[in-house]
This record gives sequence, C-alpha cells and structure tokens, in this order.
Amino acid sequence: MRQQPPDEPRADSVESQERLAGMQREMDEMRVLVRQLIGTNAVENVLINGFCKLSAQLEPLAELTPPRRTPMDPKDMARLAHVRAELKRPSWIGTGSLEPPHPSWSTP
Amino acid sequence: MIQQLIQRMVDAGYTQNAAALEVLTADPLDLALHMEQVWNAGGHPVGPARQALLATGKFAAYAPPAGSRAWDHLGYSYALENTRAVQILRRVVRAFRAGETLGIPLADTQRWLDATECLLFGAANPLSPWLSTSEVRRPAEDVRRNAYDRVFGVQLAFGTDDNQPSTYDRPNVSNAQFVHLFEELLFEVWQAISNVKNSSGVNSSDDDRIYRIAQELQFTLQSRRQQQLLDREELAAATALGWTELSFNANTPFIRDCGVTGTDEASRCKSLGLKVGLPAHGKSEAMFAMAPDLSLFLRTLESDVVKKGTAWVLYLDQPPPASPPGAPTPIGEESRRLITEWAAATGKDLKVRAKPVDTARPRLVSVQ
Repeated sequence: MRQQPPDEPRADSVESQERLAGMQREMDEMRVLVRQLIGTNAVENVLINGFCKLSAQLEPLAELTPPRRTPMDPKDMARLAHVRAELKRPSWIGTGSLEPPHPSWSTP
Repeated sequence: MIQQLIQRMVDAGYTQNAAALEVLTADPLDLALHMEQVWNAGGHPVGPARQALLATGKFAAYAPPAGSRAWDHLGYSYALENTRAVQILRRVVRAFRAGETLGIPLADTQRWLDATECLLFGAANPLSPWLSTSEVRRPAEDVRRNAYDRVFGVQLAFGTDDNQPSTYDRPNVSNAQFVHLFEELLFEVWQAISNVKNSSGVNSSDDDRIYRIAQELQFTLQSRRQQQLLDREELAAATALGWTELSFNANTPFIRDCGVTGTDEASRCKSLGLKVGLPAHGKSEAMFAMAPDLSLFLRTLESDVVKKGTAWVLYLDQPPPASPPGAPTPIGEESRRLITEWAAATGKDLKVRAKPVDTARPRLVSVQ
C-alpha cells in the first residue's frame, strides 16, 4: 500500500492558508481606508463649523446693502399700466383669410 | 390708432376678423371722424361743432377714454414705412384706378381703395384739412420723413417711388444722437436680461447705466415734443401706417383681389411688391415684427417710469418680488423681441459690444 510522504502539505490546507492570508490583506486595506475616512470627516467638520460661524457673523452685513430692484412708485405703476392699456392691440400671428363680414354690416 | 380701434371693438364683443373687416370696408369719413375722436381724447380738445360731428361717426362708440394717447409712437410708423409698404400700396391704388392690370376689384376692395386714398394719399374728403398736410407741406410722405428726421435723426432707406432722392423739407434741428444712444441702451438691457437669474457669477448688468441712458433718451425725445409739438404728425403717421399694417395683417379682400397670398405681413408685402414692380425692403420681416414693440418701448421711456432703482421695468418679465399685488407687467418680453428684431433689421449684433464705451461722445447730462 502506497503512503503519502509526511512532509508534503495537503492541498486543502494550502488553499485555506492562502484564503486566510487574502482576508488578512483585505482587512488591513479596510483598516487603512477607515482611518482615512475618519480623518477626512474631521477636516470637513472643522470647515463646516467654520463656515457656519462665518456666515452667522456676516449675516447682519446683508441688511446694509440696498435692494437692487425696488418696487415702483404707485404713480409710476399707474402710468405704466396706462401706457400698456393705450397701446393694447390684437395679435395677427397665423391669421389667414378674414371671415365674412359682421352680420350688421351691409353693402351699400 | 387702427390696431387699437380693432382691439376696442374686440373688447366690445366683436370677433377679431369681423372687427378687421368692419374697419377695412368702412367709409373713409367714419375713419377720419374716429381719428379726430382719438385726437380729442389725447388731450387736444376740439370745438363744439367738431364734437357734434364726431358723435355721428360709425366708430363713435369705440372712442378711447379721455386722457389716452391711444395711437402708436412715431417709431412704429418709421419701422413700418421702411418696409416700403406705403409706396407699394401707392402703385396698387394707381393700378386699380388707372386700368385693369390687377383685374376688376370687388366691392370690398373698392371701399378699401376709397379709404386708402383718403388716409394715405390725401384724397379729398370732408375732413382732409384736419390731416397733417396742407398746401405748404405735401405730400404726406414728406411730412412723415421730416418728422422721422427731427425725432430720430434718421431717414428712410429709400427715395421716392421712382427711386429719386426725396426732396422733403430738411429740419434745422434733429436728434442726431438718438440711434447711438438707443443702441447703447439696447445693449445694456440685453446684458441685464442675460443676468436676471445670475446670483453668483460675474454680472455685467448695470441698472444705473440703463437708467442714465433711458433718461437721456427721454430728454432727447421730449426735446422735440415740447408743447405737444409733432403730436398731430405722429397721429396722422400712426393712422396711415396702422392702415397699411392692417391691410397686410391677413389675406384681406384687397390682397386676394390682387392675386397674392402669404402667411405673414412681410410675405404678402413682398409678393405684392413684386407684382407691382417695386420690391419691398429685404428686412421687412424684422420691421413688421419690431414695430409694435418699438412703439411700447419708446412710449414707456417717454412716460418717465424708468427711475433710479426701477430700471428693471425695461428688462424683467414680472415685477420684482417686493411689488404690491396687481403691479403692471414690465416690458422685458417686448424689449427682448425688440433687441432681436432691431439687430436683424440693422445687421448690428447688439448682444456683443463691438468696442469699449466711448465716454467722450455723446455725454450724458448730469442728473440732480
């Protein structure tokens, strides 16, 4: 009966060792990633807090600038409405032939 | 004046086409009487005899309310007249009256011919002395040329009907700087329109400059209108050119009798021009399209509503958020169309500045 030599590792144990090594590598990489993420968040937090603080401090300054577009004076509003009403006109876009005359119209 | 009359008839219950036919086939005396009613309502009260006569007109019920200048600005007439439509109609009238080269006109077209001769070419009617022409200033086209020269410092793009230079009375004063200022204003308005929704980028709009140029243009225009000067000429021009526009607004009886059709005013005008041997202006589409917007734009400038802080009237489509409810709509939409059509008609790209602003000429007046 033929026997396997004792110093030759079995195929399944080699495979499991390789898998373990691979898992270990992945774990190390993830650890590095997590460390990086924690670090980034810290920088972001500092920035956001800083901007919020700055924004709150600058907010009163917005009231110092006059509004760029002020509403019209009521007299001017009435005048503009009047101009529009005076010049109101029909639209002729797409008009082809005119229809027959109004019934009240008669040829002399 | 003519378009506003149709609008008032539509407001009173007419359909638009029926109102247009009523006007196009009206007795010329009724139209002249209505023109006097519009003149009367526009702050030029007439005497009791005329008042009594005005009430007998067919369109007396559609008079504008007192205090209304219910006719288009002279700019409207200038834009439309540059299409050469009036001279084309002159040839049409001559062809119909002198022979049968254009065929036999039907009854509707004959009535249109009567009114056209009265409103455009000075045919005698009981009210002809009230028009803007007389023994010392005729024909009506020369009176209009003189008015365009005085108010805008410009001339029409063509000479007389037979391609001779026009011999109208040259004015000794004219707003020669008008076009330069006007195009500068349109450029600034376009910058503002482009930046209406720009809240964070580089913003090249300048409300203060719009206000200053608008005010300068207002002064320029009003300098030729002191004591209501040129009002009568403006109304006569708006009536003549309004009639011309209406004649081309649809396939009207006279257009059909001439044997041409078209899908818009410019195509009808061009076809008719070819038929009578007088080509219309190549940019007629832009001129027909810009005329009403130009009228509203110039009338808004003259009405003194563009103040410091309210230059937005010229470039916004809606009143700013802080406005009270019921505030009138600004003219931003009309300004945008005007810029596009003015650029198409003149060949100048108003949306880019060709060269830096020349501050040496013309100088803006100081404002208190």
